[in-house]
Amino acid sequence: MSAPLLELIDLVKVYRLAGERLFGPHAHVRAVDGVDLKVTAGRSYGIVGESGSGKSTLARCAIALERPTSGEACLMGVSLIGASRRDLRRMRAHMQMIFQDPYGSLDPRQRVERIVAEPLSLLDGVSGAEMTARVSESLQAVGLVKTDARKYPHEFSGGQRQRIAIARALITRPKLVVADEPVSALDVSVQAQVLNVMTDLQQRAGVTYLLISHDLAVVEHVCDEIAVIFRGRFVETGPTGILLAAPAHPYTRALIDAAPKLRAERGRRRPAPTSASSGAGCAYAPRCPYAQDRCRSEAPRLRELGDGRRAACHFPLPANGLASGRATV
Amino acid sequence: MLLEVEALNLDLPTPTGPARIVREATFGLDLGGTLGVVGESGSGKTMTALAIMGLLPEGARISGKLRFEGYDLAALDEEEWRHLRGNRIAMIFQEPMTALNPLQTIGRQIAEGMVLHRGLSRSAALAEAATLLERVGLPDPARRVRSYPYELSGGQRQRAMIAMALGCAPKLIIADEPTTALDVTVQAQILDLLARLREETGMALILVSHDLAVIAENCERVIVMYGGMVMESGPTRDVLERPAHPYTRALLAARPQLGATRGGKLRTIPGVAPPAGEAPAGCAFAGRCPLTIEACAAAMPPALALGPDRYARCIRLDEAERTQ
Repeated sequence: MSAPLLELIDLVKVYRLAGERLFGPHAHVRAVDGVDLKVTAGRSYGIVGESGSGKSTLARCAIALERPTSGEACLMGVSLIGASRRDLRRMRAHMQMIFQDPYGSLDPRQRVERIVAEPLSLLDGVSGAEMTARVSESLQAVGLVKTDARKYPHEFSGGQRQRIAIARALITRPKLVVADEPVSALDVSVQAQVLNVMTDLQQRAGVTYLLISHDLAVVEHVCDEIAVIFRGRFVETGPTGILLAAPAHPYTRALIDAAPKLRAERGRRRPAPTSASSGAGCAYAPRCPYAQDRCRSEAPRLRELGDGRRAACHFPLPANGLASGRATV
Repeated sequence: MLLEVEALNLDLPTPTGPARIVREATFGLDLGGTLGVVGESGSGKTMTALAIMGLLPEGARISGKLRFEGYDLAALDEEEWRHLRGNRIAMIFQEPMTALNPLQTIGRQIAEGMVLHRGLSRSAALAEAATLLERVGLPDPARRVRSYPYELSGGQRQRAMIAMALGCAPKLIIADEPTTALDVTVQAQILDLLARLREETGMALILVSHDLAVIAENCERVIVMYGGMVMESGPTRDVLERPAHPYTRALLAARPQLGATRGGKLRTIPGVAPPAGEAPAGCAFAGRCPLTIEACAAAMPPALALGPDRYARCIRLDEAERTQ
């Protein structure tokens, strides 16, 4: 069996917080706290979590924009952690990133052709003629036209800018594209255009996404697998359909319930407010409506539930429990 | 009726002359009612809310009818506005971090309105601020009164903003994207809080949002705005289940839905929305709408009654019905 497209092994990223006094002790925060992840080529992977859950840090470590504190990140079996700068640059051709803000991520003083060509220009031995051809190929793939190459970012709308960002990510024909909230800054009608471009590339160009989002519907639309992250740890992973239809972890359930629905009965169970953080036990226990003594004393590990899912919960929800099932959107 | 808006036009000054941001907007709100204002960026939804709150930018001009509790809002001077604003009408903004004063304690900011409008003493107002913080579910209110905004989380700041809005028992609260910057679980808590407070106090709510689902869960009635126009209005359920206007239909179809086929094509709306104030003379959606005919862009379509309290501005409604 060939190596997975991306593999993270026990990845940890610790940040040092500013201390209260200049030379006083510093607090540390474990933004990513022991994450294992395997992304198979052709099966896009979504990471869902709330702000501060560590999802963006995880994405940045996965693509070597940040160095993890410990653990391993491998692209197609090759370690990104130990790679030299030169090797890393070569490996970046296979992995690109799309950011949330289509305004902040494009240099306003550069023409689109230069912005889009940038990842390619970092590689050796690409001729000028090939560069131009690849730029227009890339622009076309995202539904822009060749003449757009001569324009500047300010001449485009938000949705078009995000497509420029995708064109830039695509130009090296990467196998993996890490997309961090790619559509959350966009209006609904524009969001649909960008999502269509993304799924189109998935099908035609064989791009696999590692998609970071807080929006379950967006993740479900693009991804085959999902991981739900809470306080730096995966609490549940599995195939998208099963996981969203019958979540095993109470936090996944809470996320699904909290998402507003177009047709919903009011007064369904709402997530409880966050209370003080837990000590030794499950990080979610203080918020969990099902928490028992064991949850407060012993942190659960991710374990197999059959059907491809894993959940870090001592008392996973039964597949057909909670008779309400899933509310329709 | 608590609030009556009829044929409201709003012009903002630009270097090239006035730009019409809101065109012929008509809607109303009953005492204790809930109204959702949904629209994408540039639709004029926030400007409409600011007009009701008397917070329009310098040089803005409005025409048409704008009545609140019998007052003609368009004719109020700044002195009269001060009496109304924060007292009878209060507003909650999207970003509590920018709406709150970073250099003042939460308690003082909540107390300010009560000193101003209700003539309370400083200490009485501060004591009441703590009670209000308790009502909006902030833990440890006696201590939080002395906190600064930066010491609170996003959800807590939004609760503090709501406490501030409640201070003078307003008849109407306008919430402009109150949960857009928050996580879904916190969003659900804040929206539940607003619903609970509304039940307790009987105040009316205008909820401005880009998110149809947020409005579906929290508002009895909705107006759908695009390019400064109210495209469709009516009971929320009706509008979402049987959208009449091509724009409402397109907006609903563009949403990725939980449970839909993975990677399936989403219905998109071709083109981009006109920048605020640059809509054509006729229907703002003309050109992007698949049903556009010449007459669409020529003149403002009339608001057609589709049922009790249900309107749509479109001359192609029959065609829209037929092609769906």
